[in-house]
Amino acid sequence: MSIVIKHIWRNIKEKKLMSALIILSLAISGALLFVALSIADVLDTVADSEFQSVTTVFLLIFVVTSFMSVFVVFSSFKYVMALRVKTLGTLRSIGADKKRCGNLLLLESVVYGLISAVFAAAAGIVLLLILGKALSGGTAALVISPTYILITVLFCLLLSPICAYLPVRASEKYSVKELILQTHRIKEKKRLPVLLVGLALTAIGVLLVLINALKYEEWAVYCSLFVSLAGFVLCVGPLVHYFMALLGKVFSNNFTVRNMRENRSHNTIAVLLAIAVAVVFMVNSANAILIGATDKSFALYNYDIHISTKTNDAIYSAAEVAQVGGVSGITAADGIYYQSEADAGGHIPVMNLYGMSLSKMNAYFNLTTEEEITAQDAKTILLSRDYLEREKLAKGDTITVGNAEFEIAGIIKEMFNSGNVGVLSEGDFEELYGVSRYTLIAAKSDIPDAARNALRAEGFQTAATVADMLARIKSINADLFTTVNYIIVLSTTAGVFGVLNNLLIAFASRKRERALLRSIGMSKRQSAKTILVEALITGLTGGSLGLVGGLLLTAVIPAVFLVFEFPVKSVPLSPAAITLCIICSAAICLLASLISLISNSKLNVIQTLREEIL
Amino acid sequence: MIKAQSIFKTFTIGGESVNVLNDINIEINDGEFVSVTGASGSGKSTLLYLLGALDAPTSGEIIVDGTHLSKMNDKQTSEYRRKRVGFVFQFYNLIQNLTVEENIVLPVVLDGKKAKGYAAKSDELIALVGLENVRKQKGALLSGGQQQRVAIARALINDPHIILADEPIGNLDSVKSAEIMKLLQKINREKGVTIVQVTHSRESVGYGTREIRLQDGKVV
Repeated sequence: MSIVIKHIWRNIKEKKLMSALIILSLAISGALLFVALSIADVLDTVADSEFQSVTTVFLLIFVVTSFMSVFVVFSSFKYVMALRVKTLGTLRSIGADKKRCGNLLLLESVVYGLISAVFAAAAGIVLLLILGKALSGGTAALVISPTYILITVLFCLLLSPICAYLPVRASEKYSVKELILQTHRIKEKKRLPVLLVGLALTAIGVLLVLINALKYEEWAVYCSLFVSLAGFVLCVGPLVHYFMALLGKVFSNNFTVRNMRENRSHNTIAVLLAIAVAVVFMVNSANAILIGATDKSFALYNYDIHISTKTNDAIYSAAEVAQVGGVSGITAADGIYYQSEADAGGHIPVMNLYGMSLSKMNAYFNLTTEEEITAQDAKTILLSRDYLEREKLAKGDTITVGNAEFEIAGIIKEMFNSGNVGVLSEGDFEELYGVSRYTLIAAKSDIPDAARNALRAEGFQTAATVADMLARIKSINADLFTTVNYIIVLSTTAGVFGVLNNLLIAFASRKRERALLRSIGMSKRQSAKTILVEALITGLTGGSLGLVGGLLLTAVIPAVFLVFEFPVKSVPLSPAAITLCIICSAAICLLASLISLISNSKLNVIQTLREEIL
Repeated sequence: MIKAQSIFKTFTIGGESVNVLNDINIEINDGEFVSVTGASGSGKSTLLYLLGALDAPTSGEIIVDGTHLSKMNDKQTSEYRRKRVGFVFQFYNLIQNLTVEENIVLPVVLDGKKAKGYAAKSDELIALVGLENVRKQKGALLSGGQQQRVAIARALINDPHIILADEPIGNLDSVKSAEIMKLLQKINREKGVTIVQVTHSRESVGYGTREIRLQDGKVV
């Protein structure tokens, strides 16, 4: 094996924690990408239209998690470059030119990418299997595409050197002498321009959401999410620095707090925590919206038993409706026409088109129109307010559904079925689709569970209580968001490794200072206290900034849901979640500082001072 | 031959200009073993780094075998350090996770050549510096004296004309220091390699053929 590869491999093995962090972060992103690309193929084997948007969900998760991974890997490579300075000095002194040194470092990053690619592919396949089974109730088959595996591998191979590129280029600025004598000084970045650019990007991202004209465009939503996240990531570094500087001035008598101002490692930890908290907060807000919206939506059903086929076939005759009505426990039953994804000409499809009379609508659904309508004329349609807003239509306008034109006669107020509902009269529906059999039977009962069982015994195998349906949807949402949260937890774990790593770096970089302080009289206990105070301040700073970021990013959530045709009016904010974010950040830092505390208690003052002098 | 003509070197430290070298003019002939001595801050190491193209003078010219170092770009100075000069530092500067053999052939690898082609040369140098028993050991596991021997062998792998040694025995005890100085003297006498060492040690000056003393940036 060439000496270069041997050297790189030994470097990777020497810093196990750092290497694990880089590989884990890259692998998580790669695995998520693979899942995002492959999940649709897996769920296609089940042919269930409920999961059309899953690919989009996972792509979004992939984008969000990748931001965290990129930051973790980038800051890890900055530390790796710092470790390699002495090696660079040696190589330059014996005749390696800048390009060769840079290429050596980039090659190391490619090796990391290669190792991560293997783990990413393996983890991606496992995750895909688990998700596919979870979302389809165990019926989906595993479909592995070699193309997607290749894309995942290429992603890891490319992302690693991309993250390493800037730190590598930065190391080329030092002269040979500075590298050999290790007298190089990291130039202070100009923070204010970065902060301004970050704030501008965040504002643009959030504004894109608020601009009505673009609100419903998918590309605008993805752009806004990406731009907001990028802006936040740019902002948070300078904000942490300025915040720490402010703390240092306010508590200028406190040695510990004052010292934190220029501590890069602690600032890096705070940034990491801020990004993690913002992401977790955003995802959980989205989860809360989904749960709330699902509950509200099902409250609009005014019947207990729902009978339909999985593919919404129009198969139920009037006789069968009567048969349902006659089953023990059923107090009322009616047939309703239903068509999903009704073509609406130049407008987005009407995802839930019902064919029913107003009396049926009033009897079986808790839907009301903005102006009271007593009768529905022929060739008229009722549409949800959200649909009309989105398609810039109004009452009195004409819309083409299928091959016929209908006048919009009424506006449904409630947000039912993602706010994309239309109601035609039964006659219009029958004429439009040439049907005479109903798509679903809605029934009311005294005891829904018993009635359901009785109906199944009568041969209506697809009979389900509305409560069953709600439970199923909630279960699917829960599975999805549990998986999302597991993924966020995995990414956060990588972030926790990053916190641990940076705390150790912080300790190592100030070992001499600690030894000096001990030599002039600081006790072990005082020294330990400074470590804990630093960890606490860092955790609280990161958590607070992350919360601010998370609250800003939740402004984007309504637009993200709109992509899934799920209008959201407001984002619920939980004081408990807010408090938990800050407490967890502080707790993570305090726990991670335990290793530093142990190292500190074993610090050999004389040895440290001697080593540092040498 | 090494010529330094009207060399000035100024550093800016804390906003103040410090003249480290003031009008240095020296000539070192092929095959000489020159010791550059002087108190701390006299400019010895600075002069050495200029001769090795690790740094550039503020003004003046350094000419090595007819080549003006100031006219070379990064690629050319790197090649100069690979092929025409060998460096030996006070703190050895080995790659700690490479073995003795691997450290020695590193300049060859950096030259884009295959290390295998230099196996015989590497063996010869390992024998010269007396490290046959530890050739497979990694740098981190060697003693100070052993590491310095590896550094010397590495400096010789590309048959340089010149070895520049910055306090080569500064970090060694008296026994090991004597061993290293004898080795350098042997290399100078048997191979005709020009050696320029910076040193604080009066004992090590005795191994050389000439002494250049610096004081306040000038040759005295």
